[in-house]
Amino acid sequence: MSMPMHKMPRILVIDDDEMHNLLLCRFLKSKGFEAIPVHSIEESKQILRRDNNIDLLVLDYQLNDGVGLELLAPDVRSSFLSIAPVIMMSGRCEDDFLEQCFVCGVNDYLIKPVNLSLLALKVQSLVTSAGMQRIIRQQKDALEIFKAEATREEQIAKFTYEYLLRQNSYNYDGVDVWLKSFSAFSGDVALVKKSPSGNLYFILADATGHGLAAAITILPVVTIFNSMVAKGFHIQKIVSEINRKLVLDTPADRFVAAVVVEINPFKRSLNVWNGAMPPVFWVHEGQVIHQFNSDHMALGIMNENSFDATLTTIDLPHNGFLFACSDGLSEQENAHLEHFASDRIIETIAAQPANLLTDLSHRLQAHAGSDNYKDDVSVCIIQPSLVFGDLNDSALQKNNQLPSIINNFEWAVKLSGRQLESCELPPLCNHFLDQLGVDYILRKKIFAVLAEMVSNALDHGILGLSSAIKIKPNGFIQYFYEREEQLKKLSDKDFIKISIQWIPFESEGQLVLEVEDSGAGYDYNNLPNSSYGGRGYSLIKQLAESIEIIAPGNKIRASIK
Amino acid sequence: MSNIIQLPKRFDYSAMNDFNATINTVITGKHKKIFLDAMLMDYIDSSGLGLLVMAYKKIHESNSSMTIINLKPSAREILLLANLQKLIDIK
Repeated sequence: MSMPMHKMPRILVIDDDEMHNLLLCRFLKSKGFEAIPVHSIEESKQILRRDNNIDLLVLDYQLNDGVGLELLAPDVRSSFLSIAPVIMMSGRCEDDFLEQCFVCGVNDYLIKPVNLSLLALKVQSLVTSAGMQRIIRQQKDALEIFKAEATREEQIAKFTYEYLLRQNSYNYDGVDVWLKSFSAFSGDVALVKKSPSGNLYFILADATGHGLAAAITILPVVTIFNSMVAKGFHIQKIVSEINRKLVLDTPADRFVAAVVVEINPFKRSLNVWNGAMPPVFWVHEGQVIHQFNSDHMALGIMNENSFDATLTTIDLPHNGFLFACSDGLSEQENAHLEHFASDRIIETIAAQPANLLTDLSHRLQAHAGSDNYKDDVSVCIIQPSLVFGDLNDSALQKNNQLPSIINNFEWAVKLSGRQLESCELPPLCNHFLDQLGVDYILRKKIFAVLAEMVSNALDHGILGLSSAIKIKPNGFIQYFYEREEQLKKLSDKDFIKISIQWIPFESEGQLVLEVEDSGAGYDYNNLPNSSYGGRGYSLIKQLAESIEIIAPGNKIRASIK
Repeated sequence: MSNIIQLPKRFDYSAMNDFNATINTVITGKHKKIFLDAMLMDYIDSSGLGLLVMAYKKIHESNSSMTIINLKPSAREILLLANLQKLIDIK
């Protein structure tokens, strides 16, 4: 929509003195304007009502059929298609007369006899400024259209974004979240989800910036987290994959700070990965018992090979809660430009209010002086004792009913070499059972037992790792590194075989799980019973009807009813 | 052509165009080492961190090294909180 700059300005010269009018028109033409002579008020009105391309009026005060100012009356002017500035000509020069003309809307004035070069200058000046005003009007119209389109797109994006988020709610007992978004889109997201084995996974993520651009970066985080947790993948695989996707699919200057947590209620372990987020606290009776600091860069920066998925692991305490927040909380400034900071957060926690989230939101508002914060604010509290309340009754009991599976089935798989490292066996099995229609609670049990059996087979049977390492300080990290080293040495001779059989037994039946590894076995008559899971049989013992270890110790059979 | 780039007082999204243009120019000079001088930098936010990461990747791809020098304590703290020192050389 460009302004026609070369268009010759069109000027109406309104004067009933024909000779004078002709003179003015000829002069204006010689200066490069198009000049149209008009001899009456009535004729002027007619032209102005049908022609939308008049740029200027040179108007005599006194005409035969009226006073030039008539053309400036609001009700008359509103019927014109052209909005043109006016230069008035008259022999009169008294102040109050001039004032009256300007009050009526005259833009400039020439005293008769007309000075032609002065006329030309005044005409040029008015034509230029009228031209600029036209550009402004056109730009304003374009801007309105643009704004309307942008609003419509934002509404569609918001709808998609909210639909996706609704698929992933965090409606679990014991999980409380407070989210305050800076704008229509939040660049923060908080998700909680249980895996098939009953582990709880939590992610609090904060994308660079805020608004639509940040929200778009967050979407792959949401979909990957949800699908991988649902398939039973572990936390390290999940963070690695999210990182990989973000590096590939988002611009290099965009990344996502995140805290990812895995809680295994059976093993009673708490794993945290913190990349560029404020510290995560484990709190008991108002005291911060453990602080998980950010040890890593945000997701989406390091490429696959350099990405560090190292976790911080602690035993899951029986009482207390996990606290995580985004930096919208800790970095909110008050009037003195002081951050809210960890200190105030810890103070608020130490007071042990009945509702910590409400209390924090009040304190933050008092600190900032309003509830318009400079960034998205997200705060999450997780109480595992409430989240896993159901584990006290159903899943850990042995008296679940097996569904009436009438048909026998057998499912077996053998994986060897490096495939053992990259392929996750329990999710494979879980998928199969899901397809058969085995119910959720039973699948959870089977998954947990199988995961334990496979983990033992791989770590101890094949890789030869000793759980004694875990007891030492920094033991978990050392164990992890040694495991990585041993995994690289896997050869085709190393294998794990899994089989699941449904065996009818009198009027009932049972599921028999068997895991065999290519290791040398061990002295299974002396079972250590440490909580770091020597060969972690305590879990299997809890869930299975019976366990059998077959000589020389590299094969284990468990039956589940 | 100098291999030292001055970071502005306020290093955020508004600095993007100028900063990226400067990086692109300096890269053509084929220096072995490129320095980012943070002497004037009072403020950096996550957009600024993003710009640094992007610059690092470009410089790395053109077989040069990037070092950030003269960081003020508050700015240094922000870079360390984001663990940027794991990727970028900070003096």
